Amino acid sequence: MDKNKIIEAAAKLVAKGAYDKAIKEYQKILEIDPKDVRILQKMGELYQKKNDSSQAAQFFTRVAESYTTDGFFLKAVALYKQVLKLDPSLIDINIKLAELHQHLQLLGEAMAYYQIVANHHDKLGDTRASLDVLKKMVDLDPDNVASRVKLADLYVREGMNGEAMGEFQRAAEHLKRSNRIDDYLRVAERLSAMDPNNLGLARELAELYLQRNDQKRALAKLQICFKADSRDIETLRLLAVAFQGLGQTSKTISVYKELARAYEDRGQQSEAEQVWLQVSQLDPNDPDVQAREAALAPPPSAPPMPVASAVVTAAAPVYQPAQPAQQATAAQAAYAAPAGRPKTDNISKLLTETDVYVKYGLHDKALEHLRKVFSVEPENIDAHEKAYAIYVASNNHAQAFEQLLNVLRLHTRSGDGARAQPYLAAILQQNPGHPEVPVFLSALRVAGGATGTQQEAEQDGGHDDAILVDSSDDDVIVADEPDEVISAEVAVTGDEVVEEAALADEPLTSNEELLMTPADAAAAARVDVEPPPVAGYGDDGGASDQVVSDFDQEYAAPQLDEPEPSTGEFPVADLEEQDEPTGGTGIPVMSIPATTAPGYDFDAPPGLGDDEHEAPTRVAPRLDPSLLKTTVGVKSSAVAHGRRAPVEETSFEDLDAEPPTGVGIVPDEAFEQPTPAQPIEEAVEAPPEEETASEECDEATFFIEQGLYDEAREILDTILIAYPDHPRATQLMAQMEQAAAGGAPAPEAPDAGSNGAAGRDAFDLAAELASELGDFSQEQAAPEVGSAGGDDYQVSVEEVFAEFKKGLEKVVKPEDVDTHYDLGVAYKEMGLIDDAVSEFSIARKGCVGKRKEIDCLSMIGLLQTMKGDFAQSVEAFLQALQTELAKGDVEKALRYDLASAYEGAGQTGRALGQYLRVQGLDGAFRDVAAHVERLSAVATPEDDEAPPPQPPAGGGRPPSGGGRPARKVGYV
Amino acid sequence: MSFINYSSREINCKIVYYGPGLCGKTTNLQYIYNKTNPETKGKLISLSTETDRTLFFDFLPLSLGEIRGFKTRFHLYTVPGQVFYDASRKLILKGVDGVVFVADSQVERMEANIESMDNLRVNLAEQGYDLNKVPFVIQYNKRDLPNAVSEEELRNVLNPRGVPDFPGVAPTGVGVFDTLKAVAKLVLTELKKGGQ
Repeated sequence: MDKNKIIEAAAKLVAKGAYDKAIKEYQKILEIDPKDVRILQKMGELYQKKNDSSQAAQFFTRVAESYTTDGFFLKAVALYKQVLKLDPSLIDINIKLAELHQHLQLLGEAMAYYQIVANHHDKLGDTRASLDVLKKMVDLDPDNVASRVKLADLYVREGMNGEAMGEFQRAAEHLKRSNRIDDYLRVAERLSAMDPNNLGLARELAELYLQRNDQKRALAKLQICFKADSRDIETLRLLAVAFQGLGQTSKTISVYKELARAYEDRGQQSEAEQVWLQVSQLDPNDPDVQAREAALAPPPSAPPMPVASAVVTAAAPVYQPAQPAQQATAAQAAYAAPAGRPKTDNISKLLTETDVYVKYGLHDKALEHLRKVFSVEPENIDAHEKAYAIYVASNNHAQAFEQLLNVLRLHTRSGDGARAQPYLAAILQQNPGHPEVPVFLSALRVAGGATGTQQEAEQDGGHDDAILVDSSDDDVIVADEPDEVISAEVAVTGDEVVEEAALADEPLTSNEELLMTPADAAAAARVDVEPPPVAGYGDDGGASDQVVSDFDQEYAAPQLDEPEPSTGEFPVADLEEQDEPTGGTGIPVMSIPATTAPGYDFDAPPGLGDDEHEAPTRVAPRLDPSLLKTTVGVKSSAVAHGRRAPVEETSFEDLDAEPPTGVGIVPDEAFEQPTPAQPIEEAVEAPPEEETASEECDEATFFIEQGLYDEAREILDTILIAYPDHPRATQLMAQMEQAAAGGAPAPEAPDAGSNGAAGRDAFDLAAELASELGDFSQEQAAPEVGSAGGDDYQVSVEEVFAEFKKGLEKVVKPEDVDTHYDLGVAYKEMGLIDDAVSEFSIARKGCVGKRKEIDCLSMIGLLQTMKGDFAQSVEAFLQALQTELAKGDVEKALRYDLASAYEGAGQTGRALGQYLRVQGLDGAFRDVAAHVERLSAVATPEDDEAPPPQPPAGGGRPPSGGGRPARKVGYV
Repeated sequence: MSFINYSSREINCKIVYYGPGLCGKTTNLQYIYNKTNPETKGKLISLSTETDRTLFFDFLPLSLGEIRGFKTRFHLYTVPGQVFYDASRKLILKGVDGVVFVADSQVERMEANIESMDNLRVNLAEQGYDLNKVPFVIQYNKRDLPNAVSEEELRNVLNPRGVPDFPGVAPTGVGVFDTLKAVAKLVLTELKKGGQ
């Protein structure tokens, strides 16, 4: 066979358009030499001419394979690309292209082809195939975090958790090395979700979150650590910092106490002392602190020490009052009291922005801002008021009530009765039985100042149980639930809160009779006055004229002229003035859903003694009910309720006790509802437990039958804390856990509650954490469950922008003035000032001496003004003015902007000089006349623009509002 | 509000094309670019990633002539649609004067449309804008596809407020200029309002 002749004949046939015949000729050669690349290529071309893409692709592929084998990679690439054009569905060709590019060290292109294949498999749901490709991508570019995270996601989807964790781990390490902390946090979160036992990671994340003032997320991580070891020093320390950052002083104190005890248990007395000092700084009147102080004082005439306090005192090391004020550890200082405390105006700015966020319903953002405020000013009353309003609006009852208490405590301390009235009304409406209510009433119904006196008197007296009764005999009358109670139901829709009824907002006077529930009376009989604020607090004193917060205006609610009859859900104290037209409280009020059992208020079991100061006198020293205090009324926090039991016990005792002298108690209807627990002391003398708690057990049984496990658990926890070995409760708990196993996850491990006092306390903290986290932890958990999507991974702007600029360099030449100019405008709009200046500078180089140069210089000047670099700004405008084309309207505009820059630089004389020149050119130009008038009063005009002006020492100041160059104005 | 430069006597208006990934935002800009008089358009900056997706943003400056002696220029931008470019989207939305939401009519992209619309609302709010007040139009793109949801259904889900909306087939230009004209009109109306 003469190959050349055949080729020649075939070429003639092709020239005639006889493609089929030509193909047959070529096939003769291929039969003999199937690897003849030249012929294979010809065949491919012929089939392409015949529009037989499939055959053409096949022949080109064979050619490409041959080239690949022979090492002609570039030729192979060209042919494979040809093949893809012919038949894009040949997805494997992309793999070949990727491999070839890999050989050619063109990693970007290789990755792109792999990505196409991965996307293809992904689209088809072929995870395994996708995995293979992604593995190649990760091998190819180990630093490509996006690929690695995607690969990890796919592993998760395939249930290959070990491999997934490995990839997440490597991605996280890379991100950490690259100092991309935001991205690191996201990836590490995924890792933490997959490996919840990695306590080191959880703690590291918590620390990072705390550094970013994201206490909520920090708490989520600390909860994991806490569950693993509730006595871990570092965990407790971080917890305290987190709670402090959230402005939750009572919880901070409780954690500090636990931390101090943990130190004591380890024999680290000096560390414990430091922590106790922290507690005393936060709350000098804390019962435990006082008990420790009392241990130093001679005991002779003191009344008998309550049992628990005595234990605390005995266990406590010698109190050393002469400690320096700043006792925070280094880490605490780093988080809780960072250097560079924001100025008041910064806080004010944060609060203003918070209002904006609230307005747009961005509650999370608003809370984030408030946390920033709390981190530096935990006692900022405005912030607490706003936080309360936000939690109410977002229907977060637990947090709302917590903040309501905080607000009232702060008002109590400042004695700002007028401003506190709406909040007082709110708590009376929501939970009149809260033990602190009498304190609030007592302190806030009189003008500021009386509180302090009262506190001192009470402290001096040292008879906690009798203080309030003694001081309030004339004022406090305990009565039946009033016939008429004020109903205040709130409709919360999105971010709007509408009060349907308002409570009296007039400050209570000393002559008013307060119709209180027995719970109030019981609480009043034993509740101490709230401790004074921490050092530094008290700035709000001057704000007493501000009756309502800014938030009030946002949520100004329509008021009903007449009080509505009570729904019965929330019996509130009846104020005498209720027949009079009631003023709007102006604050949002929570509407807590009715409980399943009519008339029984699970959220606020009447008489529950949540008072933290009471606890040490009643319960074992490890039990620290202050943690529980703030969760009163929290329906969602089932566990927290349970943990309050020991405190509840005190109220039972109080309930059963004789009413204080002069105070007539008629049992409130609500008090006849099932009572969750009995006091420890009382339990000794009480009837058999089974009998005592039978109603509660019945109720729990009912809830279990209804599938309301949280409610059931709440009750059973309470019983089991009071009676750890209660057989029926234990049995029901087991049943309930079993029943709940298939449904909602059990919130906490309840067995901790039975491990003695210390265990209870720790468990309380866990419950508190759970309560604190609320829905947040569920939100966090969600992606963990179905995290395969990896949607939470975000690419940083810096990364994208860097790549974008790199790409631009290839497509936009430096001499392309218009495009650089346009890009400058684009960057300016995005706030990328330096990049914008850079673009205008490049653009200017290409148009020197032209009209466009003035535009570039003008833009540079404006940008420098925006940046606050007025010297540069002035220089740019002066340069623009020096060009020949700067005449007429252009000159006017440039001088106006120059004047503004001068003004920003503090050179008012020159500014005035320029404004006058503009006025000379066109008196009606923009608002030049106003500027001239304004500056003429303070400066004399200077017209020396020859040398570029120097910036004033200490930096310039922004130009006055009217004098700023045109930025964003709506004017044509 | 739009940026006015008195010395260059220019008004620059920023219009952002928003929407889920692969909905056709870039295609809209490409069509506009291809069909616009060369004298009135700048360079179309459209960089893509290795996977042929928009890198950072597409950008097309257009001139609309003069209004009261000011050259009026519209800068059209697209955002990257993939969820993990949210930070980029936020940046691009800064200083926006008008928004075009390009919805993908395919039934399987409904969720992505809704998510993107929510994302737009949130990101605008973060910049201090209210989607209900910003000049805003919607384009239901890919009307030619067999799996397209009915316009009525799209309207119910994505356009409860009844802003101007248009069916579109971006590669062939259906609805592309209608959409642009509608949003431009709203932006100019706002601009005039600002001058009153």
